[in-house]
Amino acid sequence: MKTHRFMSKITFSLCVLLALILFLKGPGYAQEDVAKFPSRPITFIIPIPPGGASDASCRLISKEAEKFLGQPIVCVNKPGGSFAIAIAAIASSNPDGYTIGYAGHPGLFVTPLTGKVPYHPVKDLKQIMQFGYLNIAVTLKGDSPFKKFEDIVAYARQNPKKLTYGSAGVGSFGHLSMEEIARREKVQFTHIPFKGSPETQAALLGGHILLATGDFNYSQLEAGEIRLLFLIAEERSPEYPKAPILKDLGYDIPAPTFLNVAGPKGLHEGIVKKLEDAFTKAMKEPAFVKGMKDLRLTIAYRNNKEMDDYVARNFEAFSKLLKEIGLIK
Amino acid sequence: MDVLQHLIMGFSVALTLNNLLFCFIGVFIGTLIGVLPGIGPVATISLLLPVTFGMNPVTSIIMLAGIYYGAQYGGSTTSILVNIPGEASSIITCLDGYKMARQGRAGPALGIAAFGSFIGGTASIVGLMLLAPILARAALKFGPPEYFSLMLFGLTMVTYLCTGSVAKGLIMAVGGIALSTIGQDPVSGITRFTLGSITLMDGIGLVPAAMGIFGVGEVLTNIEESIKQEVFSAKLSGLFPTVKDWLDCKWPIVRGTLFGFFLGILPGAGVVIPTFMSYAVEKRLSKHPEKFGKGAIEGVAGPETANNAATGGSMVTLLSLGIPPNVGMAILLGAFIIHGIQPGPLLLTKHPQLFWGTIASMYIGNVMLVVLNLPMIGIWVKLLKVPYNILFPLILLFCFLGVYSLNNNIYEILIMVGFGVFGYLMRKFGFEGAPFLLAMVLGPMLEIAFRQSLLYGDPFIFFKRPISGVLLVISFILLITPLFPKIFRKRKELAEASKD
Amino acid sequence: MKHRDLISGVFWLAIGMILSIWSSGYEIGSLVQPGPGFLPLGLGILLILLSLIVLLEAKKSSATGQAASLPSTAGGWKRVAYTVLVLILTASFYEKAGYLLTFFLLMMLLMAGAGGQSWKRILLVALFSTLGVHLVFVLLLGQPLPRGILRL
Repeated sequence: MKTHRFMSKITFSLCVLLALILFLKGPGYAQEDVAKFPSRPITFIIPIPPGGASDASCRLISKEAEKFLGQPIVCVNKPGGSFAIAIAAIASSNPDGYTIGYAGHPGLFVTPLTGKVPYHPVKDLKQIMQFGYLNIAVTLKGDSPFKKFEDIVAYARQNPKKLTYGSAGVGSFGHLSMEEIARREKVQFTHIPFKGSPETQAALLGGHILLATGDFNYSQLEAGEIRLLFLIAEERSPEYPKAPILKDLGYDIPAPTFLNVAGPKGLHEGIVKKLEDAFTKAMKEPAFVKGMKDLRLTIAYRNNKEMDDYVARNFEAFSKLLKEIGLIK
Repeated sequence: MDVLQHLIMGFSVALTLNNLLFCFIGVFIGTLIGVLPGIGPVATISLLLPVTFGMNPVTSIIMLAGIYYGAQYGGSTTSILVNIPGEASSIITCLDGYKMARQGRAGPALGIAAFGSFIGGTASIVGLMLLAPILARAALKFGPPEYFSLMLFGLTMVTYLCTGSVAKGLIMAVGGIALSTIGQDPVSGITRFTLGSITLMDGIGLVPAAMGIFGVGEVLTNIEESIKQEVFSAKLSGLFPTVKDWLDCKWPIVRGTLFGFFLGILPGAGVVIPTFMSYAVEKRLSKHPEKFGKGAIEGVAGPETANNAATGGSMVTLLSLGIPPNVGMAILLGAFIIHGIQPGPLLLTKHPQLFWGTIASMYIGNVMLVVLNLPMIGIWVKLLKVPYNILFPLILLFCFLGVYSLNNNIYEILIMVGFGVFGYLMRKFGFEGAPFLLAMVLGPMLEIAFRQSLLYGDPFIFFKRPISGVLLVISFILLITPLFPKIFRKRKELAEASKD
Repeated sequence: MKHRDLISGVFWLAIGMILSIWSSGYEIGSLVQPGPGFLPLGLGILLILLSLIVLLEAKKSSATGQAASLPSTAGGWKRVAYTVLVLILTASFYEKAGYLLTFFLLMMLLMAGAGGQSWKRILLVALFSTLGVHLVFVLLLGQPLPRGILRL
């Protein structure tokens, strides 16, 4: 028995020693040759839980981009904090090109402004490219008496606070756009926040809210249960060419509803180029195009420099927008 | 009857060799990941989605759905054997299931869980088949005020979950709700009590908390005493439920089915709530409520039936409205979408084969699952004979692995360990985990629904709407009746007398 | 006096007070328009009340039997503390060390700490369980477990 205790003490100490060595030894391997990139699998971080159109689109494009990189791309979901957890993981990762991900809206433009996050969305990230747009719309019930958006505004003017609209939460595109519109039109809407698009849709169908914002179910649309009032987007959607977008209604409100690929700052130009090429080529693959069509998502492209500018511009725009709505002081 | 014709067509789709094979693969994988703690159907389905890209849509959905409801069968296994909930929907099974295992009755517990799951699952498919469109419409009538009243109703059940001091149980409930306020407040957008941590911005997850309190906490409590060779030293008494067990469980199973099915339909209600409600109701209605928490088989039968019935219920909302009522359905929706199919009002007319084929395969899948799970009981029970000083590190390893697999976040492991310590201290000081966890689940929904409802501007909205009003009245009655035990006992005696 | 209830009563009282103070820092609002601080404040007050009840009950009950004394641990708390420490330690280097190494170490450390086993057995069990995880979770189920900097 005594020997056992002694042996186990030795084992114990050895293990602890090993543990400490691992703990202290940082990522201390030499920077890789750009020409050899990639020589091992790449991690693609997705900031939302699995399931859902955006998650599916990231997996779609990663699957196609693999072919051009010659290495597998492993998709890892790191949901939480309105994208902040995932973006923080991307921003703090080693700038060797092996950690990239979808760094989208709330984590870039809202969370850093309303709270404290350990990264700066513009300075700490290097944008690689954009491959699409999400579908964010303002929908109403099929049998609703409102026909055009002007009707909504008129109704709100006559009946302050009676126009109820639902969104996927404070800081979501739906919320921000509707509040900004209300501010410009000098009317009052009543915002009912929900925990996600499905609940918002359910509330709309049940008649608990007059308008719903966010993602929508296109089977409901085709069945006539719901109608698209307008799209919160910067470009017309090829799927719904007749639906007006913000600009058509006369509102110049930022709507960066993009799907993108980004990495940490400090990425070597050569690596950025390689990744950008691979994903750009992936966009043209028929499997990707078909997949996006099935998801009813819009395909759109910006290269890495354009995305950097675009994100920086939007960050300024949202700082202004959030102050105007009163979300931040 | 029209439905019968459709069903026959569905079976003709489901009974092809290919679909049968993938149905089996699905339920097999489902059972496996259901047993493995932490790894859930959501993560697995999302991983296997790319594999299904090239497959025929009907076959893919059959397989993926099989994974989902298969997991509800397997989840109870570790809950019963080692007090670790395999799935969130099996948390409450830990309470009595594990106690039964400690008493040498692991076999009957596993058996009744399997049978209950079968009955719940199958019955809910029947409900799905016959009532889907009507129920979906009815579910839509639940707006914020109705959700509030429903959650309040659920919380009144908390008092029935406590075995010991009511004050202590209430402290746990209040503590649970308080803990659930950590994170981003959806109504105002500000973050509460997060101390700047972005992990906490989403609040404390139910699974890390449950695995901490039940799994890790139990291990810590056991190893404190001494590293006995066997924690499960009670002699094994039989592998299957006895006739008496069956008779005891017949009503809990019926009620569990109803709870699970109807609550599973409501968007946002999730699969956890039906199980907690079933347990509380069974305890309330039982002739020997003091046995609950000590190994009452009804406490296993009801909840396990409920969680399987909830899968059928959730499919009602998913298939008829295209709205996923919980996370599991959301990922299944993703699977549909990837194959170019949008569930919703048009699903029945556009893809009848898919709808009826899936339903038919769900019947088949449930049968397969019972056949799979029952013989395994013998094997599982043998596992309990593994010496505890090898078993407990394995348990902790699984907890570690499981929690990480949720969101790939090591801080959640630390949260789990924290709850492990909490669970250990809780046991030492005589507090219970079940009211805490139930409150953690119901609390946030209660608060959100309350504040959402008030945004409409009318504070009496809860009473003016019929469904909400009815629920509130029932909750009030339930709260009051314990104060008049004499009346209640007399009623029971009268009822019993009239039965004989 | 039930000592353990006294301790827990005081504990929850303290929690209740901290919660109440902390939540009053958020906007409280009113009963008809509750703000984010409303519910937590209410809960904090409830906790204070309930813990007072527990304390009262503890004072009232006579000092009988083991329930009256402090919860005993008979030295076992050292094992508990060790286990907790091991878990925390392995969690902190999990992503850097990779799953194979971490799990192997986790098993070794836990079993070594438990004592009473030959370390040949410890080694074997640790090896097999790590391999088992690799087979089932990584190869069979395809879970993306962290490979660590050594890229195992």
